[in-house]
Amino acid sequence: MILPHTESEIKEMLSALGLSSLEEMFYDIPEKTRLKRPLNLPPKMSEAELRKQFKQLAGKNHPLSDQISFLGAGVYRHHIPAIIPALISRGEFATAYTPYQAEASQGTLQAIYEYQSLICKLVGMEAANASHYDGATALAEAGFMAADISQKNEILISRGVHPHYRQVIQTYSKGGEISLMELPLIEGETAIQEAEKMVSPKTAGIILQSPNFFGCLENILAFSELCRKNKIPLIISVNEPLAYGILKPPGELGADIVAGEGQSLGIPTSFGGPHVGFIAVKQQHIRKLPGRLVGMTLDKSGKPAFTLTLQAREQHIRREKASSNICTNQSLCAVANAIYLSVLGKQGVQEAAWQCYHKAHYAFHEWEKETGLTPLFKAKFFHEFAMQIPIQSEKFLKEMKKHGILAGYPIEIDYPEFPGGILLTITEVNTKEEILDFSKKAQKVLDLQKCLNH
Amino acid sequence: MPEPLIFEKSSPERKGYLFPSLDVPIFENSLSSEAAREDLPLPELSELDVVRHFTRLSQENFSIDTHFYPLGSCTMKYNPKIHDELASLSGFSDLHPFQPEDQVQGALEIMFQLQNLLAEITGMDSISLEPAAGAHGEFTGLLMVQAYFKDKKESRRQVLVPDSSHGTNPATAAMAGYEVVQIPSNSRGGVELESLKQSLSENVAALMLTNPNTLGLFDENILEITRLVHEKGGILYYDGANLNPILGIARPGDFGFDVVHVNLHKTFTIPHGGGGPGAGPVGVKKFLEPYLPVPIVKKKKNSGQEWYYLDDHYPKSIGKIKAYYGNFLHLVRGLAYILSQGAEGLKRIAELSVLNANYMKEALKKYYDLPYDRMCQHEFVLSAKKQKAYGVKASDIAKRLLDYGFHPPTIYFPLIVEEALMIEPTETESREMLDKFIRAMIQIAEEAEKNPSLVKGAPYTTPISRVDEVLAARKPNLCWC
Repeated sequence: MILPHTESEIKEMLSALGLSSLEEMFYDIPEKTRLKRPLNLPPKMSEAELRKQFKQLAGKNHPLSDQISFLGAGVYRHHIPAIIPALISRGEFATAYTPYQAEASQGTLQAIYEYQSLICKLVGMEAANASHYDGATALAEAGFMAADISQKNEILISRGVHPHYRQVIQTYSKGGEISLMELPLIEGETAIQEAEKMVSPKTAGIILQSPNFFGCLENILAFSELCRKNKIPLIISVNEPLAYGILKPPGELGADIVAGEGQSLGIPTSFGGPHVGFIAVKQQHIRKLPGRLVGMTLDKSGKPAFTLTLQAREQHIRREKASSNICTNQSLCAVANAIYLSVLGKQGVQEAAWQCYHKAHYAFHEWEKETGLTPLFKAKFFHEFAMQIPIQSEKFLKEMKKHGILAGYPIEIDYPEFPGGILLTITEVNTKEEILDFSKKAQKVLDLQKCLNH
Repeated sequence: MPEPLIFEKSSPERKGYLFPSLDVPIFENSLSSEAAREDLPLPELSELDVVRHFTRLSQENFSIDTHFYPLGSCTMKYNPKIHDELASLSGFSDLHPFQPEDQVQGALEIMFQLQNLLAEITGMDSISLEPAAGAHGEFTGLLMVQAYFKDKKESRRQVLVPDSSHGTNPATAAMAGYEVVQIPSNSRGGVELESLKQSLSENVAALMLTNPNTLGLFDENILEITRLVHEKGGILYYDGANLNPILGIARPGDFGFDVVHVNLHKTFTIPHGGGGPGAGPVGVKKFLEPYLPVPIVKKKKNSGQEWYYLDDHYPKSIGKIKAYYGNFLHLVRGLAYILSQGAEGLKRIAELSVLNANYMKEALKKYYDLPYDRMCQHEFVLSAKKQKAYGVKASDIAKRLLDYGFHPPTIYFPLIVEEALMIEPTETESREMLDKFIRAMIQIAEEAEKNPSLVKGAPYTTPISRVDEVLAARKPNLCWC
């Protein structure tokens, strides 16, 4: 990219300042710390050279679309309607800043208001923030909210919560606002009996993920009763919001805060980001929400209008007393979520969710019957489940990859108690043919290993 | 509200998207009634309905692509379209974070290269690309500071921030568990050295500094400041929000800063997206490396071949600060920008951003109060004090600028300037555009004097007039329910 200034313009502008060189503008920087050499960077590239270079780099990667993939584990591949990239790449959305000037930003503001509303409808809550960095950081800040609501410090967090999310909330807890205790699992589900024993007067709230990392549906209702009894908030973490196209939403089951990831709703897997986090709450907690909020109000002439609101909670007004330090969020991804939920709409979201559900259950039974893989848990699931491999999971995955199949996520990376366990995900993008292909190749890989072992 | 809400355009049973037919049998033993939801209250529209709706909404925005956007502190420079094309290549966007390393060598190479180039540009030893935004980078930085002192078994409870700092600095320090101590500014807009000396003690963990600061001024005492803080064993944190004007001119690492965050969505021209996503890589000096968030991308030789891998073997790491590895597609854009500029190009960016800002400042200081009349860097702060005498405030001037077709400057920030108007033109604007903006500002100054009610009633040309913010806050309506 070339800057617009011509050499003669630069001279004229300098002379308007009474200067004869550009260097004179930097005399406030101590002479001895000014860089005396050019930065050590590669030579500059034209657009054509850039394109060539990055195509080469992209070519060293192996995109999901070129292979069969059953990888999920918190990041999911779904059909993305073509209108999403087309609309969010419009410069009017993509190159606007945070909508501080409401009159010049009604487009972003209304789109985000719609996003907040659509997220609330999907998870059954009453107010959502204007987005967060991702599901993990949204959950961490939901933990802070719980401590603020209950005025206590200790959060009970299920071992079924995504391992990266647990690591992030652990990092966030180092500021001292919360401490964490882990709720154990039984048969892939968070143990309610243990939770009952662990809740104490110090408990600030409970965090549960549903469907959890293993794909198992948690008994949200039982935990919400426990929380109700102890007057502490229940936080439901969500990796796969599309599940709530058909599942009873956490809001209807007594969740006080739902914090999660919106990547599933129209955003490519993108090697892990940008994705988009959300935090949704019941009405009574809106003033405790972190981050930006868009509200509907009226303009001077009485017309409906949108604006950033309740900014007195935020860092640019309250500084060290703010509810969070967040400023930049993931606004454009939130708009992508809004477009996804609008264009799929009621029937499309239900259909996507049912297709995931039916295909995953088909695969589950097919693979159990045909491959020698055994389910790790008996719990109900949505589109993801854990299976036991009779050989080392690393070996299995490597051999399957040679056959062009990414055969899931090795859960022993994060759960040493499940050696040889893999997490498999089937979405509407996967076909019956792929599922049957997995069976065939898995049989081949396992048979070969058996022979080698004998 | 010229465009109705999406919910108001819904029509029962309308569909907008066709899926391939289900190719497996329906699972008979389906969801129980306790598990299944009864109703899904989402709107029902056609594809064209949705396209028109969001296209119309977009048209209600001011943006860089449509308007000059001199929003101070936000570095609203042109975002080259080629970056978007590159980031959308399926070899990048269609990658899963848990794919095996041999399938993502190109992605890891990009991250590795960006780590190295950002280290060179900032003068730091090591970079983490994980943080998602500036404030997120600040939090990462302060947690590293905390881990460092914990390791040294030193208990330091305070973080110093100048009164001109971004609000995120004190908010971050509080989130990281520190007590915030504010340092006043001197008459030149820099850190008041006497106050700094008095506030420094063995109890101070860090000073967070933006330099050039939010007044757009470079603190000439920078070397004295870093010396004083280091003398007391404290850490120097550089808020990189204003890195743009010193690219290739000077480096935070060479001033003595120990931790730096960089806003890729400001200096390195990632589109702001109406408020995000951004990317806020953090750089550190050698002694803080052990505390970086994991993973870091490394390179080794693997049977003679270069091999990139994710290294999470950092036993003293603060841990993960975000799921996966950062806002990767933005890292692609950031790297593309640096490669398209080279050393010379980055320096030119700094020079012309400073030239543009000084050119406007000199032209406007006759008409608006200029509280710090000295050479500025990439931005400068005017005060609407003169106009206030006629009852016209900074916010009125901002609204009136909309009628002239300009996005207004940042207003009421920094807090230490009364009726502040903070203007950052960036280097991508031509002199003609600067002149047009200058003329509009002069005209508004005249209007403020001769016809203040005209300015106070603005804007007249936007889709809505001024909003009732009191109503919005008193009865928050955050959801169409």
